[in-house]
Amino acid sequence: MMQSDTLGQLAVKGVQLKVLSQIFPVLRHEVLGPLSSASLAAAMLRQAPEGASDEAVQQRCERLAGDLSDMLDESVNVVRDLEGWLSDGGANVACGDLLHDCRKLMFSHLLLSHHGIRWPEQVAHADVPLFSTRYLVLAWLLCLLPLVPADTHLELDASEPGVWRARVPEGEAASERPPAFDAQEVELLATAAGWRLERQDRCWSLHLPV
Amino acid sequence: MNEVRAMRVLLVDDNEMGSELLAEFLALSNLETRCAATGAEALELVGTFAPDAVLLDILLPDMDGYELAKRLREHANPPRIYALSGLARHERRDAINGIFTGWIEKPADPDALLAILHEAN
Repeated sequence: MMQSDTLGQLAVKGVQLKVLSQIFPVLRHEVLGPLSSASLAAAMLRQAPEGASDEAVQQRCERLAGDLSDMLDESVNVVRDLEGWLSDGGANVACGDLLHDCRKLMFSHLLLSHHGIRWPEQVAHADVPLFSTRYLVLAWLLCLLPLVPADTHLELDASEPGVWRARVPEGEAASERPPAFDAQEVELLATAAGWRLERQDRCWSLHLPV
Repeated sequence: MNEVRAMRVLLVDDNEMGSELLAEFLALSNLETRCAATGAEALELVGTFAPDAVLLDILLPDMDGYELAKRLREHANPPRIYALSGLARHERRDAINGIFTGWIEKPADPDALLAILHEAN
């Protein structure tokens, strides 16, 4: 029993790492943002505006050094936050915030894949565990997107408390590549997180933990 | 005699401190700049400020930079649009061709950035 539990946990971690690899470009982008600004501030410290007084130059240097320090602090925080992808700190998050976060995280995947998602405008309020739910929702979307026909969007509905639905419009799948995730992997994450995945022909529903 | 006006650059990035720094850097090189933190602000400014070039972070809070670039291109006098992004070269999608004038990876070398802006002008 202990052996199978351990293998089950490893399987969940394996799927989570697959998810992480898909959204890695966005995480790297987030890290590079403040570092890019810090690099600019450092370059500007080497410049001196023409005709400026010594006092003005000194003030400018102090301001830029302060900005540089703030940006490096921000970079440190962004890097530290990456820990939240590897270990479950037990935090909960509002569903609306989670979907907003997932929208950002899916950005590079959508850009590369030509797929689109219509994100819900209304999200019924509930708090869910951040660590497991974020992985689950991303896997759910990544699994369904390749089934979406060209020039259409995967439609998300989170307006009903207790259940989120993803609907694939009628038509032939646009993607020639096989999905990065299969249904069993999404089910594995759902079960581990206490959710239930219900699969119908063109609508997959995630039932929130009761 | 006609006075040559400074090149106008619109900076679109939700990292406001970074945007302001870049604006200051470009201003030192006599470029006129405005900053927008969202796609909506950028669409509003493109009409009033009439930029020659847009430096656009492709990850914005209200719309993705790709969508914004397409809408900026619909403007009567479309500016040159450069993506400024932490995404790597191989992570661009083919369709970006024709939408963005160029793709500049973060962290951008400030002098190289200036050269790109002046080269195309």
